[in-house]
Amino acid sequence: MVSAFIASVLLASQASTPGVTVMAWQLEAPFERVPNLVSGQAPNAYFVHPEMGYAGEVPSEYGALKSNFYLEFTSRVAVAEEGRYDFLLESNSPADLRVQGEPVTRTWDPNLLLRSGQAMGQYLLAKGSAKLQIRVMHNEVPQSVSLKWRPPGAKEFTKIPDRLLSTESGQTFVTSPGPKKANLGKPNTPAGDARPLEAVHPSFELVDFRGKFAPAVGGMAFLPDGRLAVCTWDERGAVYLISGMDTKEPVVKLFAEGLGEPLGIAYWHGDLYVTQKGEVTRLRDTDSDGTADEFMTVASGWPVSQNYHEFTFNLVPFQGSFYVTSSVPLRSGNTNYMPGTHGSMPISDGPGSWIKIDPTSGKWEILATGLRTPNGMAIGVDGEMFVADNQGSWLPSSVIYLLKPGTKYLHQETPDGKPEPKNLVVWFPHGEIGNSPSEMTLIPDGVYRGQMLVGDVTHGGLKRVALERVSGDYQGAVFRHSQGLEAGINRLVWGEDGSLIVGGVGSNGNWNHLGHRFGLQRLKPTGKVPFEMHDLSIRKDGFLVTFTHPISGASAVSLLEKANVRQWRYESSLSYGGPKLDDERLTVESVQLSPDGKQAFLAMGGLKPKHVAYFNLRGLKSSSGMKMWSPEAWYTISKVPGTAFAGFAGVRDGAGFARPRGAETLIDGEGKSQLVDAEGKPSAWKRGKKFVEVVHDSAADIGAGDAFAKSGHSDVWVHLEWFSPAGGKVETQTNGNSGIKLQSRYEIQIMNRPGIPDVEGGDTKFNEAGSIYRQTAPSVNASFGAGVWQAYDIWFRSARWKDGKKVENARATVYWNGVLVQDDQEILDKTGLSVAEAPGDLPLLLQDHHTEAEGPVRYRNVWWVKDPWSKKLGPPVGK
Amino acid sequence: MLASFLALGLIHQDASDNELKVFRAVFEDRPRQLILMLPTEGAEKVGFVFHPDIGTIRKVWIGSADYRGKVYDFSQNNSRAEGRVIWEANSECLRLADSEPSGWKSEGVRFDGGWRFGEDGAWMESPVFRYDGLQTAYIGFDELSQSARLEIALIDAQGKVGTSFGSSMAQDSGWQWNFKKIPILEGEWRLRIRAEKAADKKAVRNLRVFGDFPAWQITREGSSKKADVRMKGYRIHEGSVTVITQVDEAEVEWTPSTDAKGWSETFEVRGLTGSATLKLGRDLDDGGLVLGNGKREVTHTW
Repeated sequence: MVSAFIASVLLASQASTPGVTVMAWQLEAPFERVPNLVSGQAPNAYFVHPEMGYAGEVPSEYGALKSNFYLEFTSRVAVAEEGRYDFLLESNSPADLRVQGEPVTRTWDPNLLLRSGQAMGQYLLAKGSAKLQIRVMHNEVPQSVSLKWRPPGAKEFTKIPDRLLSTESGQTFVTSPGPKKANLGKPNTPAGDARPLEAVHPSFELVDFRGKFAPAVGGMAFLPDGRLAVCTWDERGAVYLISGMDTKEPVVKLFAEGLGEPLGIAYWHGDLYVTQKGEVTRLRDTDSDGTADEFMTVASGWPVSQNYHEFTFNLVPFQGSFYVTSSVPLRSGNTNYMPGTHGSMPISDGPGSWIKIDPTSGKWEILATGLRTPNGMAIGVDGEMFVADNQGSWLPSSVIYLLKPGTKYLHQETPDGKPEPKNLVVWFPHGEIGNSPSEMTLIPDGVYRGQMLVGDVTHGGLKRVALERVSGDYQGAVFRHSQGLEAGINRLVWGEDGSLIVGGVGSNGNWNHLGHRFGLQRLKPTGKVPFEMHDLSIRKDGFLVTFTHPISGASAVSLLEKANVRQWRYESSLSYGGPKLDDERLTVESVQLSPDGKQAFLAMGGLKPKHVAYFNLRGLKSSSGMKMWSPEAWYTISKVPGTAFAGFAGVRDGAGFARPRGAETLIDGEGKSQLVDAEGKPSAWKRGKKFVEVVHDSAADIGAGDAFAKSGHSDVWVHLEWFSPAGGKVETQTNGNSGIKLQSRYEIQIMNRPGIPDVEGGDTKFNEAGSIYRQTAPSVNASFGAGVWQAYDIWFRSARWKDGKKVENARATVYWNGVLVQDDQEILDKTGLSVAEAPGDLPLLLQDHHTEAEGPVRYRNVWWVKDPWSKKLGPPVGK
Repeated sequence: MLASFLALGLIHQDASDNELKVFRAVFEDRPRQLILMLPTEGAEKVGFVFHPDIGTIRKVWIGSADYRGKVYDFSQNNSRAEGRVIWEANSECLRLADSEPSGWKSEGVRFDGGWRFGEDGAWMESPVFRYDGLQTAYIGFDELSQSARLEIALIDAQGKVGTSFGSSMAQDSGWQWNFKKIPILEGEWRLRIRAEKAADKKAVRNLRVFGDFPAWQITREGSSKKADVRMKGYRIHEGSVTVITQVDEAEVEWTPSTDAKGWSETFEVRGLTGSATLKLGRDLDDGGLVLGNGKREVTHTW
């Protein structure tokens, strides 16, 4: 418990302005009821409106909202008389009304309808003011919504007079373009998958230690004696010192107050230094009474005005200098300081700068300009400095930049053309992975060492950034890392024991996370490592994904169909934020798995520089069955390297071997088949989406028959990809049974489980996948499992005959998912019920077999190379 | 001395308490202001606004403060003095009155709660004024912003534009305040406000050109010049506060105090060489206050 009671609760009356706050979100789809928005998404339109209602399209900076949009109207109504108030909500769209946060009525509930489109409710209001909120979903066409009331004693419903309505003054209208996500009832996906996480990252244990101390944290730094210094971005402008953080009763003491919006603090050479608006100040306790009594200006004078948004952020001591950043004035709300129209600042484009300060002389210099709201700096793994900047005008989405002197970053105070991003390291797509990134910190130890964590004030929680260098420049990926914290995160600092201290802050409008405005918590390391992507590394032909744990082979193959990979780009403009441009899906063409299972190379073409690549590897599991903490990553492709992936040493392609030049297609990757039935007519097997499937009526046990190649073969390399669904019985060989018969005689079994002696008392070890049917079981289990695509590469050497007599048995070398399972194995005779051995070529066949699995066996990408040895295309291992 | 432990409550709730309050804030349109609120026995606090850019105070008042801004009431406004103004430095060079402005010309403009520009090309033009005595200058005004943009320009006698900028169009429905830091231009100027397109809802009020006049001069061997000024910081000790400012070669410590009769300020100057003197040229000081090395107390009665 905190011994000192410090209530930093804002007691000032919140400033208000006449009207109603309106926010509108363009949704991806219509909804039959008022949906729940996925949190963290800025509205497309945001303004103050005079009345509680609206009709027609909603204009926005990114184009009018015409259909499938969701609206929220929020206001306070002045209540002159206590009593029961009736409300009439009118709309033909799904709409509901809440009063004081409680549901009162809704238009989609027939029990509450007065008549069509009119829903009634009542609420007992006290004298004073009450919060009203209407939520409405306009689907096909924009309808109207309005609210009337009937105060106590009144006979008729009347419009609530505009003069009684008020809302928050001074809101910053943060918006963003593009469709937003919502759902009815429960979310459609697990937390962390297309929506924010909900819990603390498993590598941390959350410790609440602040008691009633409620700081809006502007900065944090540890003193050498272990005390934590916290400065607060609040009306008090204070610095507190917290001791005993390891104990049950931490002590919080006020060290200084009266600072102007402190947003950075550092302990340097025996003193505490604080960044306040337009100044860095040294604090000293000269009479040793525990509080600061000397406030000396270290540096000031960089451009700063009375605009509320001209913050001075950070305080990073580095190599004998201090570094701070400044933000630009904003023109929104009731501050109309226009960018781009002044020529009077002492330094061109002065606001929005990276500033270096000599702490001894106080001299400062602006090293770089073009920043917007650079609320977070960090020194990276190689001793370079990075800054996080926030979305807005000229910044279509939030970013991390590498700080380099002389750079003019994206924001434009005096526009001079279309700015191009320079030293941009990572985009944070707005509403998806970040809205207002704040302090960054290098992870000093553990699995993620060398990566960075980044707080976010309005999206909340922590994001993780893993960078790499491509042609000498940084770029990389951002991942969801943690939520479950008490406020949007503004500041981070590591403790000696490896704990991460997280400090929260928030303001009005949508400048906060879930309405919270202060917070201070501790994240203690647990040593646990969840299953997730560790980092991404780009190649010319795809991405190498490294995981924290080995992935299951089945999962790896599933990525071919299930991985959702997209890329898009942004353009800088005056508009507040910007849309995704040229958004397109990327196809994962193949997946290769590393020997230890911790890396997968996702081959894909068409990667473009100056784009963001989005990954969702939904459904992937670790080899031990762990689900992903979050399946998503956003990789900023500033450059595409010229080097292709070299392959993993010592292993084969998990989806089989690459197709050589000259191979002949039997079934292609689009489901087109060259196979025929026993009479030479086109096979009646069903063409599916990018595959061909066996046709067999399991109930009647009647099928379309085997499918044959049109020509016979002798020596051959056959590649085939097959899919055997789960289900069926092992004992009756009905578990997704099919097979490939070389020369129509020698079967390599296809089944949804491997041919290993795992059936007690049975002899199925020869009968299952990877087996030469009833002759030889595979040497190892290379299965990816049931219900996933797998691959065989079979090198078949036909039997040799002389004068009608067999002089050498046929032989086969079989790679199963790139793993050698039959090594030049002699085949003694035909397998099962097959054509008897004889001289001459016969066609390859794929077997129509009775099955009780969950569906038919499927094939795709079946090709062969006849006489491969003569073409120097024999198996890499084996004879 | 500040309370060494945690004094509950807020700065802006303390008009009645008996403690010295010292804080930094954006105050009355200027950033980095140092506000001192001195307790006075049996009376309301006396507030001082010390402006670091000019190295001295620019306002004294009795009362409290209306605390506005993101860290106070979440608004985008800034804080202001509340109470009886004892003295305030002259900072305006031009102001547009709300009705019948003397010496202004206009066409297509009318007053209705604010000056409204209801015709294409409607304009207002001020009488000639100078502002080159300021060391920093701003144009400030309130506007109703949901319609057309206005052009604000300083023009010379030939109509040539010295500097100009556009007003804004914001999403808010109420009056918005707008300001622009402008370059210091020598000579005489007129201010012109013009609406290219008619917009009857577009209105302007409270327009003024304002800024800060330099306060300190240094005189050496009969020659005076504007002194460079840099606030070095402040110290709080036993209920009083001393602000330290570097004024050219000298360091000036300034300590205010109050009693029932009035308020005092003590200047302690160090570092002047030879016969050099400093002159503090506030209009508070009846011709200016000349200071040499050493301590000097100046009293002001209520």
